[in-house]
Amino acid sequence: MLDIRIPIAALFIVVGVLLVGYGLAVPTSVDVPVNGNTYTFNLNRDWGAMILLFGIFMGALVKMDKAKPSK
Amino acid sequence: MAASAAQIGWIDYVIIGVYFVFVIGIGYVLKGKMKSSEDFFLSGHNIPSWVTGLAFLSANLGAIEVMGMAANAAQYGVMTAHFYWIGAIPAMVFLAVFMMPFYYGSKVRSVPEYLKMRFNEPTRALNAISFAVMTVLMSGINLYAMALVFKLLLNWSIDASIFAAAGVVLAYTYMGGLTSSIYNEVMQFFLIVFGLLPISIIGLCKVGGWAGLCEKLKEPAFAHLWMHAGTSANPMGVDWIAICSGLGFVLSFGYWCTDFLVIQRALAAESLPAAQRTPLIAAFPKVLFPALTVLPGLIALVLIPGLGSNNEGMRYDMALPLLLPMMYPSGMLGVGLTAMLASFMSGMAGNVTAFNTVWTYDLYQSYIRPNQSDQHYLWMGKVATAVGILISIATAYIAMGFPSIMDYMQNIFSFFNAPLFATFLLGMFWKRTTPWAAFFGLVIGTLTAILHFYVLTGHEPFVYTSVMAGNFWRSTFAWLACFISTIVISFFTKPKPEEELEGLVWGKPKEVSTEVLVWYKRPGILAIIILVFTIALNFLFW
Repeated sequence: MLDIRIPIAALFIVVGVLLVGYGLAVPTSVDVPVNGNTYTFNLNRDWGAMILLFGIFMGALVKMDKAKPSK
Repeated sequence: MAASAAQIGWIDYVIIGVYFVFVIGIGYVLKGKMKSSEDFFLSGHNIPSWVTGLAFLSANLGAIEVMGMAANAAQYGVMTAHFYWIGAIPAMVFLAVFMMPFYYGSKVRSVPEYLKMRFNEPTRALNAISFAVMTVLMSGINLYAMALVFKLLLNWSIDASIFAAAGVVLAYTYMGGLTSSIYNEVMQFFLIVFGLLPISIIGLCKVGGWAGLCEKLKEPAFAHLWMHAGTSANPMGVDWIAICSGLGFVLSFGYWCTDFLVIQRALAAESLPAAQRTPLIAAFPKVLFPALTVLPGLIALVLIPGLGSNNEGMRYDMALPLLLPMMYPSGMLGVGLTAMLASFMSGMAGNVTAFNTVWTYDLYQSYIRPNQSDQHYLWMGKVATAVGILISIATAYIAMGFPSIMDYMQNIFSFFNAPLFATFLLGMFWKRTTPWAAFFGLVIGTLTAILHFYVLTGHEPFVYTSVMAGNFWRSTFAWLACFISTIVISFFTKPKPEEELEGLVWGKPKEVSTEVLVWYKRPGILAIIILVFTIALNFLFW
């Protein structure tokens, strides 16, 4: 049966790369006030990186499971 | 302020398109694996518990859950979290620890089939028909809610949204059956989290953190879970007795412990312990979900002036969708919209896969065409999937005609699910419960709910300060009517012979699992951890 982590990893890597790429090509800042200071984020780039990392993490789990000797 | 169409860019369309390719692709890959009806309806009983657990949660993450809870939070405040911390977690734990051994251990393929084995054919037929009708109605409401959101938010055509989403759900459920639905639900779960979490984080910063949010709420009671629940003089209009009995006991146990939509996911697990872990694994993210639904509702109340007005685009239901273009630039907007789409589609697919199973096994195979080949039932399951989606499209258009379809559907739930839980409770834990007592108890419980809603409500002492209070009390009365009448009738009718109750009733186990599990896989330990965490959250937001 298909390992569901594979399509999840692929989807999140594709969406993550799209967002990071778009965030770098067309930077859009989001201002977030925290304790009186205002921090500016490139949300597409930063959250896209989080999505990309999650995709890589899922892919790594599949790789590690495949590397384990079968019982 | 009136809602205006948000600006959506090419990148947003690309992200939505990529998502569609993946969900249909999963169905396509699984297409070749659907060799028997068991593969199609029950996933061959070989799915790991983390997958069934997240699917168990996502099947419930439809329009009413995601949009509805944010809307409730904007309308009633933090008390909406009762739907999670008292209205879901205890019931999920009860299902896992006490009821799953009967469902999974008896090897039933559906909830109505358990009723047939434990009671009789009429009880099964009654439940199968009411469930089949409810599921396609709910499925259509998911479609309609989705189309309405995209119409108000992006000015998309309602017809195009309905047919496009229905077409995608049809493609992946037709090809890959329950497995495809479950796999997509897991993917949709992660999309919902990643698509909606930044709204809560950015929104909370914009309103000055939790303390700032509480200060800006129009009433102090909006920021508390229990503090103002001593009487019904609170935003929800419900006192603690109605919360505990109506929501915490009857409605939540009635839904989480008997609704085949969610239980089907646990039945797909690879073993009994895995099936027991399914609701518990779902409970861990579920306990934190108010951060993705209730919190944005409260943030919307502060940041969107005029929310809750009569303007259609400013209804409370629009609390979460309106936050998307406020918080997200093009790019992330696509991810947020995909999360909303994922929510609607997982809710719809869950209903459709539950419908095709109950239709094929409990109605078609039992009463219309028994004794056919397995391939025939596999074919019928696929036909039922397509027909279920077509009916969903029709009910989506019917739903447009109702002014308050969500309230209407909650009423329907209280009619059928509340008495059903009394039937299950007695059936599983009191072996003297007789088949005809179960049948007539269910009928009496449902009639009590209908009588309460159509005749008694509005007349002393059945006057309620909110629709929700009426729902909670009606559920309690329906449950009590079913519970008491089932006990009374049981004393006057013939019970089933004890040898026929093996594996179906408490104290008559068919097989006991002797598998030794590591601590983090033991249902009892997981149940205690989640309950302690839930109690702590209740005190934290007291």
